[in-house]
Amino acid sequence: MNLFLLTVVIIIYLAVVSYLGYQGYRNTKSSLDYNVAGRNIHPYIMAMSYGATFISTSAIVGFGGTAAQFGLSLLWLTACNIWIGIFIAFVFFGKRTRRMGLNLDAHTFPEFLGKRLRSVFVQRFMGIIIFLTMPLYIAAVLIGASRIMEGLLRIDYNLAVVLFTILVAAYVIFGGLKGVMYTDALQGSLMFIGMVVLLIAVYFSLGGITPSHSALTSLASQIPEGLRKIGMTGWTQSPVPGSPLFWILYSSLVLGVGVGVLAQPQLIVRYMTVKSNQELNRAVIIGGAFIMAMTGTAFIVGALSNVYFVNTYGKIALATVGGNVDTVIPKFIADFMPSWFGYLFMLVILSAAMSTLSSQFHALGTSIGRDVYGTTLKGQDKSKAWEILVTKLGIVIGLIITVYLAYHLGESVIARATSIFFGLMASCFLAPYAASLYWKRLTRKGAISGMMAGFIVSLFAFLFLHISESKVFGVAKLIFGRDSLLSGSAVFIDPLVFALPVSVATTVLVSLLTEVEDPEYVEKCFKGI
Amino acid sequence: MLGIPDPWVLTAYLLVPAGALLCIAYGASKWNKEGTVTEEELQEERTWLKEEIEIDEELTGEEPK
Repeated sequence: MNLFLLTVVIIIYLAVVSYLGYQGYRNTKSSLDYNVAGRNIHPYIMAMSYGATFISTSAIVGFGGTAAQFGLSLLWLTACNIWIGIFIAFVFFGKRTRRMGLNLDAHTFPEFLGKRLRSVFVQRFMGIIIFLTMPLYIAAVLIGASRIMEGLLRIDYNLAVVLFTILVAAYVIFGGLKGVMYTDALQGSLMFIGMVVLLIAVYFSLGGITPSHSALTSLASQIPEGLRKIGMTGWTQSPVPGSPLFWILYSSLVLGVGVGVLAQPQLIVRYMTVKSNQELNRAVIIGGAFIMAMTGTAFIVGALSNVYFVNTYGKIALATVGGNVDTVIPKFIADFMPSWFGYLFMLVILSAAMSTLSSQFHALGTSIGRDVYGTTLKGQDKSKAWEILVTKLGIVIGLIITVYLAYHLGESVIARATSIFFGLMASCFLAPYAASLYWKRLTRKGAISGMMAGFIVSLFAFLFLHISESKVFGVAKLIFGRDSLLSGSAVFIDPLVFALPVSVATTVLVSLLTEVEDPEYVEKCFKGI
Repeated sequence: MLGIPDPWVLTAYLLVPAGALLCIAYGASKWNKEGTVTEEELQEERTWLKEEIEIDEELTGEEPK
């Protein structure tokens, strides 16, 4: 790949993106002067922005590589992405969040729940949890983008991390967090085109849909011994029920990310940007098609890359890249597609990374600046300058932690880091959030108890049950002399499986045992719903 | 079917386009519905947007005017 040409392409791309963001920001601002309906975001822009924020290099590179490892069973996650992440999210969560967000004048997810429950504690607690854990997810996106740079430009991974971090920092510093929805729409469109071209090219080169799947099925004899031992039976077959792989695949990746999407702070704020439910209804169309083209392509191409690698190198994907699943997609794109596609794909990846990162940094900055620090200013002389400073400092600290994680998390880590974050958000916040939207009987005490229960059970599971993390922390070993208090395949059950039901039950039970604090206020929250 | 022997995996494969079709059918059937916005809502929207712009400006380090 010609580095000079690529640099020119990237500079032009960044210039266009920045210009579009600035124009979008100016238009939004001037709409206020002309008394135009404020949240007048077109459904295409809203859906693309949601989709481009949702889908990142983590989904394409990390989960695409995981599909190369585990096979087409991962398409259950794509199915969840569409049915839950788009349909249920927009229709059952989006509409009510939009209306209630307006009633409460909420601008962040913590602020939404904090105001709904009239609890500064909720807003601060959520702000702190998001601020502390978001870097893990940002790191997953950063690693994905860096792996692509490493693969396509054939540069050292560490250098790729530095280069990409500089790019992100420049983007954030020079106003990249403004007018993000407009740039998201462009980035989403680029991602859509790139991924559709990729899917067609792969199916075409492998002889069509059925022949390529059949070729993948016939590779079952080449499953590595390690994967066979944990329950893998083939790339077009589900793992043995109850096996370690079964739990890794279905509880962490499919359930964790598939359900976790409903409680993502950076996505929830998108619902509030449209002016009526009509826009959300229309956005469902774009969202469904977009996600199918994104994770559908990534997982199918990831799995089918095995056929290509066996035909070319005589080895499956994992063996070809030396065991690091995060490098399968970059290696595949570099080898399989013509070099002109490499340039397009580089833009696809930049788009996927930038659109998600801008929203992540937005959520990170507001979580510490507005939700934690901002709430301490109540009643005092509000010094906005300090809030800005805390926000900026928060973003800088978040960026430093992210880079540290990108260097130290190791290999084959993107999908895991993402699912930890998604699962944790769902475990702590999904039950109170859903109840806030649908249940007037929800009480502040019920919501806080549910939130805390989800958080404590998750923490316990990470430290003592789920072996992938408990082994790293070493607390279980220190106290009980073993890596997990569970045994057999159960050590692979995701913390979400324990934490979410406990959080739901606690939210409901405590609410039923306590009185609604201010029924009149609750009615105000539900106005127009 | 489609070269995928496991019905469980095949179901997932088919649920992907089925979900997209559901989204398209839902959006199309509701294309012109739920679009009414009251004057009060418009006013609330303006207040909301004003603050949203302030937040964006804070994030990029500008003191809101």
